[in-house]
Amino acid sequence: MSGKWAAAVLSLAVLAPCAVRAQTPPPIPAEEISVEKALKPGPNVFVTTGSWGGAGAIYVFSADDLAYKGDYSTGMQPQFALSPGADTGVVASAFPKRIMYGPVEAIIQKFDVSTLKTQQEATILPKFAQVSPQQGQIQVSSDGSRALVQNATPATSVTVVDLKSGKVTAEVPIPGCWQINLAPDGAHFSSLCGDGSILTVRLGADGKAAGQARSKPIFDVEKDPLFAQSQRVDGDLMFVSYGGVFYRISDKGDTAQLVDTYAFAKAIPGEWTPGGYAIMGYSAPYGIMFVAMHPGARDGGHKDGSEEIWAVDLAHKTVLYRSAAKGLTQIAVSQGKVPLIFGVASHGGGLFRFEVDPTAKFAAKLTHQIALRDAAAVTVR
Amino acid sequence: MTNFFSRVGKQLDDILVSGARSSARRFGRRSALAKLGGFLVGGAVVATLPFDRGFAATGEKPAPIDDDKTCDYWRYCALDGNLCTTSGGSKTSCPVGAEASQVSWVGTCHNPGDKRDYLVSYYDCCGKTPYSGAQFCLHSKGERPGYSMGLHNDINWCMANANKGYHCTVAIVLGVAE
Repeated sequence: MSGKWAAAVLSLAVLAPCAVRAQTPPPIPAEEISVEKALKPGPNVFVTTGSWGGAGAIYVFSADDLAYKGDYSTGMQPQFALSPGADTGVVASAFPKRIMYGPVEAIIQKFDVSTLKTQQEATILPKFAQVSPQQGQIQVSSDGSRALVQNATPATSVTVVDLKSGKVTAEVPIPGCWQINLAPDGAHFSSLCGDGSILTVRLGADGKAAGQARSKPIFDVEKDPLFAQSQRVDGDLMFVSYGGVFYRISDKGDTAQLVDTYAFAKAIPGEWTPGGYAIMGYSAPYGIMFVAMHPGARDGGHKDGSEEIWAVDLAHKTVLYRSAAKGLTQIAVSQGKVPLIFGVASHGGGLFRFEVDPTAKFAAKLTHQIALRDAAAVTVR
Repeated sequence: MTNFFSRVGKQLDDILVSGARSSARRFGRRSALAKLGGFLVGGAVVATLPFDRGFAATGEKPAPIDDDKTCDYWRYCALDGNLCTTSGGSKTSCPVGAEASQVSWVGTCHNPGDKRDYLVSYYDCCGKTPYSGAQFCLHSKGERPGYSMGLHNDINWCMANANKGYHCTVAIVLGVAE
């Protein structure tokens, strides 16, 4: 070894420990616990999860990538409604005193979405229907002043709540009828009935029933019953039948009227049929109804998960596109320039996000999915 | 499904006249969802889902005639819930300490053993925590939304009891469906 190399080796031997010491970061300073003050910014998608043995929740995810943001805690079998601006949530649920036994207290909770903090609680009738989370069990007027909640004993009725005072203003019997389809102004609601008719109830300014009228039978409960979910299409109510027929109903007058029907699945081979719980999502800007569909129609198959999502042009009565979408039981559609479809697979436990291409016949492409046990209902604006 | 509702209605009328199972006229109940409580499994993107009780319940195996601990047992054709046969009870009895629901819903199921259709009333057993090891089943033959409450299986049929906690479900033959 030359003198030069010997000096280099010696230098490394002496300096190496110093270099290691120089690269060691300073110790982590003492920390303090804190609480996130608000949800991370950006659009949200809400998933309602129910429970038959404890607390339920409203989970909040990013509508961009399904990243989890937080949740709002509820009682059993929460029924969720979101304000038009997506900034306030209203949820009804049951709180049994001893969880599995004893008297039930049912309440409405109103919460701020950005902070997930309770703004208001109101006690409602304990006969609140304990069903799996789904659309139409609670509805809130567009101005946020009035909430309606479905009851069952099993006799059916609707609790009307003034959200300004937090008081129940009325219990409206709707014998033989089910689900609340509230007009945007909160002045009347319509419900499907077991004889195929539709009951329309008008509410006064005092929140009490001011009159009601039942239509003639509009659908056949035995041969082709309607799913209870509806979508608003240009002010009308749109339902879909087990067999894949759209029923467009006007609820503007005192008595509901059938406007039109459209058997959109009839001409397509494979005995395709809708399936799930809330299986329609409407894109108002484009006039497209998305429907969760599966083949091989059978008695008892109306809750089967989807194989495809169909994009149906309501104005031209045309099925524009059929996109692969496996296992979905509830869907919701955003109202932006690029419609997003969110779906939950309640039979399997998952949340899914699809992007729709309006330039390609409204084809839907899966972009994200997460496992989410007991995901029941999905809501988006 | 031909004349299904008229058959059910007649059967129920007969039952009411005879005084048997008078609560069957008020039928109904809950969904496939979340009976055992909900929680987030994870935030990560996954290729497959962790479990699929609903689809497992509607599997493609041939229906066994006698095994009342499986979802394919013939009486369960419109049952949505936990089997009491796997919760400490039987197909006609609630487990110890539970109470029978005061109201129930109905289905019409075909018994391959004698090739007859039977009217079956599904009662929930109430007031106790669901057993996590119970067999969950989802069948919805002839099921309807809540506007036909007596055929509805998405609701908690302990609703008329003082103790409303859902535990499990039994399937009781009411008679031959004519």
